[in-house]
Amino acid sequence: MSTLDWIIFIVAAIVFVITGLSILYNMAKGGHHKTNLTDKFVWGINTQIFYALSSFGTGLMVVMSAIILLVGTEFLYSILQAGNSIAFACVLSGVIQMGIDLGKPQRAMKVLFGKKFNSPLTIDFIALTVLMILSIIFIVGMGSASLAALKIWAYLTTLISVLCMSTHTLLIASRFEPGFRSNPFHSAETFVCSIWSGLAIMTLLSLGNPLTEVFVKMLLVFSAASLIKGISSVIALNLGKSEIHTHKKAFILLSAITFIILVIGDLAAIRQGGLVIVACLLTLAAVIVEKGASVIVVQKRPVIPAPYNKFDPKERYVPSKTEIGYLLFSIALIAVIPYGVFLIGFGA
Amino acid sequence: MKFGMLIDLRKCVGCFACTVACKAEHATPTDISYNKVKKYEVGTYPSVKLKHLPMPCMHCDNPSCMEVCPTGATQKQDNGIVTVDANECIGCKACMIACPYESRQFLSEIKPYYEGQERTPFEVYMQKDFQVGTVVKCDGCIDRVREGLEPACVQTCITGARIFGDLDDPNSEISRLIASSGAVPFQRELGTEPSVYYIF
Repeated sequence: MSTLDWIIFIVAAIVFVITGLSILYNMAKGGHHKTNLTDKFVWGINTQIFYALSSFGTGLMVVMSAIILLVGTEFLYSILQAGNSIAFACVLSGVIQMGIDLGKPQRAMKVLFGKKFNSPLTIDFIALTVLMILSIIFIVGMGSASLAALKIWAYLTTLISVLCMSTHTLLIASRFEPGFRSNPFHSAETFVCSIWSGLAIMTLLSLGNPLTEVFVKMLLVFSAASLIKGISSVIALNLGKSEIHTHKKAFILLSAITFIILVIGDLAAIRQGGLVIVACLLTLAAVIVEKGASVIVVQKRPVIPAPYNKFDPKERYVPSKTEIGYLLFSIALIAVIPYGVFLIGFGA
Repeated sequence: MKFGMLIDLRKCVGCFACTVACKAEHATPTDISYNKVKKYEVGTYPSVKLKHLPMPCMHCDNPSCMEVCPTGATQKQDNGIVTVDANECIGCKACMIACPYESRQFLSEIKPYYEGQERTPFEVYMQKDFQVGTVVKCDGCIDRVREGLEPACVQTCITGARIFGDLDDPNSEISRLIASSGAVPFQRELGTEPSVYYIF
């Protein structure tokens, strides 16, 4: 570990501890509910970030599984371990974000005993728990595992990760308008964005490695897929006379810029460096914006149709300081866990 | 037996007595109203009319809120009324996302009606079963119904716009009126099969 690594770890740990303590203080003082959420905006920025982080985590796990299945242990184990610890941190942090949004987080375990397997939340709860267990197994027990064991891990991880992606579509699907006004591309967007963001993180982690070129090309393909899915959903919304919000336009713009950067890089044979890093960061930003469109913008639309909603108050959602505090907490957690894993030495 | 309600919008005068009766019956905390009445306009200027649409919980036969509830806190009772068990609710708000009638509300805080004043002993007693951090909704005045009474909103309606009764009994007043008036549920195309019918 270099001095810079230590500085990042210590700063992140301090942010994590301070925001964590302030959250605990807030909860003790005023309960769990000091948010700007209303009956119209029932899920806010914490749920948006839950979707984004779980998208990063599940995408990363699918990419890791693909690497294991394609090239086996030839790929550097330390990169896989770094990817896995980041995926674990993303999923854990996302789960905490979701848990914070619950009115009664202390009752969360009731989800397991409700036996409501038709509920997307139940499936999500189980799938994310299994995914974290698989991730912990990789962190502590896959260093000297055989190729067969790694492959079994990859099969299971792919299945569970894709299940998570599906349930994240289902969680919001119940809010979509019926029939012609719905967005038929939402599921595809969720899936593509997940893999796309996973590839972006893996590309960042593997910079300098010979396999980076493969990731960059995959990133190009998935940025094209995201761009086309985004455009398709705009066309679908236009056909249904639904409003196209800024989030959607921003997502398409970011996808287009990423695609163009990667095409230029490919034509100029640039496989490493600043251009690739910019493309990866834009990818992550695009996915966060897409989750904003999926979670927050969807709730802007009136539930009761016209003309009955004519006098409904026009509400806006602006996250409260507490919600932003939760966000800082989760970001710090993502920095703390992977560094912690490397400090302990699992990635060696 | 399946209880249902018929609301004749031709008779509704928008007095909000149902909303007040509901609040009095349940002593719902501030910002919580089980029986909302939506205002809307019909016609074009200068020939415009203000109309009202009372929106209690629709107590659907196929409630989307119950499907998405992960803990089973939302249940459909034998008499067709959809209830929430506050002791089982985790406050995930998935039901609020799923409900197409905005019938559910999140109880984030129980505060007094007037700033600087305490809750009255009546409010403290009546609100003892409310749990902060859970989702609340119209319970169809299930306690009254079990005693053979009508829901508070029905009993209080000054124009008799609301009729309550057994939808399974073809000879009940509500069934006969639905059949004769062509009453329909609100947004029936969603397939949730609401038990509240409207005469528009």
